[in-house]
Amino acid sequence: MSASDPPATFREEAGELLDRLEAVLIRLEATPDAPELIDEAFRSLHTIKGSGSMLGFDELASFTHIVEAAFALVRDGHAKISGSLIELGLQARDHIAAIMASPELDDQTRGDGERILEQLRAAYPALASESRPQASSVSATAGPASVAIGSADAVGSDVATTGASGGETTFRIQFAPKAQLFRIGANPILLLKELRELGETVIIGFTDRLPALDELDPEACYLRWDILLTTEAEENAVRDVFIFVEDGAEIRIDEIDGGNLEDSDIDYKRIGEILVSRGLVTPEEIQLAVNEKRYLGDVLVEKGLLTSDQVNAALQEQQYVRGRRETRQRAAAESQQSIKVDTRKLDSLVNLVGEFVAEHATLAQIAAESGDGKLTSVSERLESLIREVRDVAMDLHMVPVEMLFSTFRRLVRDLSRELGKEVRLQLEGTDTELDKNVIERLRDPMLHIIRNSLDHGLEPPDERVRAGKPREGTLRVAASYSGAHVLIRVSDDGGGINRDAVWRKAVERGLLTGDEEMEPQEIYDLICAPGFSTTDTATNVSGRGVGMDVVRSNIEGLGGSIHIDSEEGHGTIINIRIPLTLAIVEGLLVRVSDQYYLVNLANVLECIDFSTVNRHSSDRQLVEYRGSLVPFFDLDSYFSADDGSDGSAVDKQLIVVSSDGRTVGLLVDEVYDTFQSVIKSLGKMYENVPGVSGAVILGDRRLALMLDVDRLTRNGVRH
Amino acid sequence: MNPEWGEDRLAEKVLIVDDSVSMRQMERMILTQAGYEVVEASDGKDALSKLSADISVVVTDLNMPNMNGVELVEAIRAGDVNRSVPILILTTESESEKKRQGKEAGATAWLTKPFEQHQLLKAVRKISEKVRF
Repeated sequence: MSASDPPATFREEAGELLDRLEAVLIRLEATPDAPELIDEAFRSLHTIKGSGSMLGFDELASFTHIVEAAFALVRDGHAKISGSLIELGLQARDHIAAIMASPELDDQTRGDGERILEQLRAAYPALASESRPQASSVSATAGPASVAIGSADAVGSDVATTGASGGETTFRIQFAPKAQLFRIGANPILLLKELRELGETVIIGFTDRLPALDELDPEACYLRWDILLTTEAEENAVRDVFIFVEDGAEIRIDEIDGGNLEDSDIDYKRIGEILVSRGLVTPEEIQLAVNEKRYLGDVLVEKGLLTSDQVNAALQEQQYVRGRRETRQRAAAESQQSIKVDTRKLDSLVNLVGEFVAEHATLAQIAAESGDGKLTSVSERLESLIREVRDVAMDLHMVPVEMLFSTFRRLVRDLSRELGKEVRLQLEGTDTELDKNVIERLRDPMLHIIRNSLDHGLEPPDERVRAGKPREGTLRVAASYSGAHVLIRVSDDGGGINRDAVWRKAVERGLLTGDEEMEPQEIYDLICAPGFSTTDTATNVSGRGVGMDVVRSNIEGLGGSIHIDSEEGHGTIINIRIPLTLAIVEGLLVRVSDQYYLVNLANVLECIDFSTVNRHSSDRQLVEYRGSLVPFFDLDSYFSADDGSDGSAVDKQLIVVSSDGRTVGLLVDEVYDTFQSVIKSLGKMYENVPGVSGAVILGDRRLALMLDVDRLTRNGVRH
Repeated sequence: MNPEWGEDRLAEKVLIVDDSVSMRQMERMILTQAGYEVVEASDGKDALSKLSADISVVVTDLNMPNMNGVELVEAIRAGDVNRSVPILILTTESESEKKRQGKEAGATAWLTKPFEQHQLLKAVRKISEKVRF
């Protein structure tokens, strides 16, 4: 065991302590009235608990805690030692040794532990209130949080989380240290810093006790402070800040503003009321001063009842609480300022903004051609405004994926019953937002994937147990942002995909000849090939083999991509990448022959002058790109079905694009600017044309086709 | 290791007192990684013999044979060597009475087990700051 391995040391140490405990208990049997033996038994248990809890042996710590508490009762004279305590102590010792031996407790060992604790509780009813020690529950109930004066951060964070339900409270803390404060080693500045860490503070210092310089004792504390603290912490936590200086200072803490709206009379208290509640003056004195019909504060100071510092502090308090209440009311009002809008109106707004963007492109072109500076500057300003309008409109259209994900719960519940499986559904990132239309069009593909997972992926409980997995399978659906895309990941811990079976089926179906060499990834891709299904007997759950190819084309129709990964025996992961919004894309405008194309900017890695590119020495269809070889093809020959001599490629540009980790180069004749546009569908007739996925109208009213980069890279890599 | 803790610190010495070897190891790891120098003692008596003027902070367990934590605090405060050294006592939450006793004996702060690494560092750093004031 190396010196720097505390868990290993702990095992050794606990072993020794348990041996000692055993010896002590046996001696106790002979001499029950030996307090030093009781104390030693207690201490052994206490050390095992303390060090164990530090090292994460939670089960051990919570068990030992109760046994230790029984010995504490005897040690403190609240209970008598008995033969049964010694017997139970010995059993507990064995149980602790058993926990140490195997971190994963089996049911029987756990049952033994429960039985020992039950008997202890029966013998010592005072133990009933003892339970598992947990740091978090302690700070909530017992007041003093983990760290006292020295480390306020820990106090602050503990309390902030536990006291959050009660909302924010504003306290007025009057902190007047006695002169000898410094002599007990306390630093008031650190206390103020600690308070500041609990929440928002206003700290008002008073110098009124400061004597003349020749009377000043440099080791005495003359200053005092009023602190207004708005915090989620409870009063006890605030009081705890002062626990080590309680005797060295006068401390008064009052709650002056609760977090609820009921008492949110904006005006708060009159200055006189504040002064009275601070215990500085009596109501009678206030009444007398008010009768003078001048500023109350002035009168009180004049009369020598108060210092101007004290009046100022009260004024600051009044201002502060008013400010808090105003903020709160405004927030409450704002939270109600939302209206419901018919989604069709939103849709048409988004469409109009899209048209706006396209129309502006025309204006920008006219402005550029005209060479008119004024027109150009108007056009440019318009462009930035349109961009803002577009962002706002898009934002209106976004909804959390929760809308979609929450419908899966019922589906999983019903389906798993029907299939006789035990499944736990885990939803993550449900607040990720996507275009509402995208979410609607994702519903069917997602349902299909989840059905597949439940039907083919997750095994029946008994089979899982045989495979050494928990009975209950886990299906996880998680959404997260990834650049201009949202990544949705559906994963299960089921049986995974059998690549050989996929391979054989593909050969059977004539999708492969059987001679191909394929990467695992390419084999998984086959699952999404048209007409592919691995189960011969289609169940009524996942349908009849129309499955994954339809799912893929749906997702590609959304401008997204799907990617399957699996480990046999361990599960399957399906990654779906979806653009944040459908309506508008930012693309790179290029020309191939006399036709314009748009390449989604999200896919473009780089544009390179083809004449500067190094071709691979033997395979002319590969180029060197950043240290690796990348396949490329000429779009001209791709679209014109010409066989593609590469001799004319001299002036061409190479656009390196990637999708789903596949990188290819595309040869084009000319590269223009980036261009934002609404993508129009090509209509039913042309929706399956390979290589293009839509069309856009250019500024000069000509048409550009949107390249289907996902499809092109897939072809390119296979090429 | 951790710049937040290790930076511009002239290897301050911390005396850790605990009868549990694994606790001492753990505290040593946490503190030395943060740039502190560590002296270990296995109980109160041992600690008193190792307390010197150049110790910046004492971190002590309460339940120990020979001389327990509260007795140690009392002895340090009543002694001649480094009597105003900041003392952090480690308690478990079942020891609220001990915590009181520790405070009354003159401990500077307490930390409840189980604690996180950063909590120990913060506590040690803050109480050593306090005396520099």
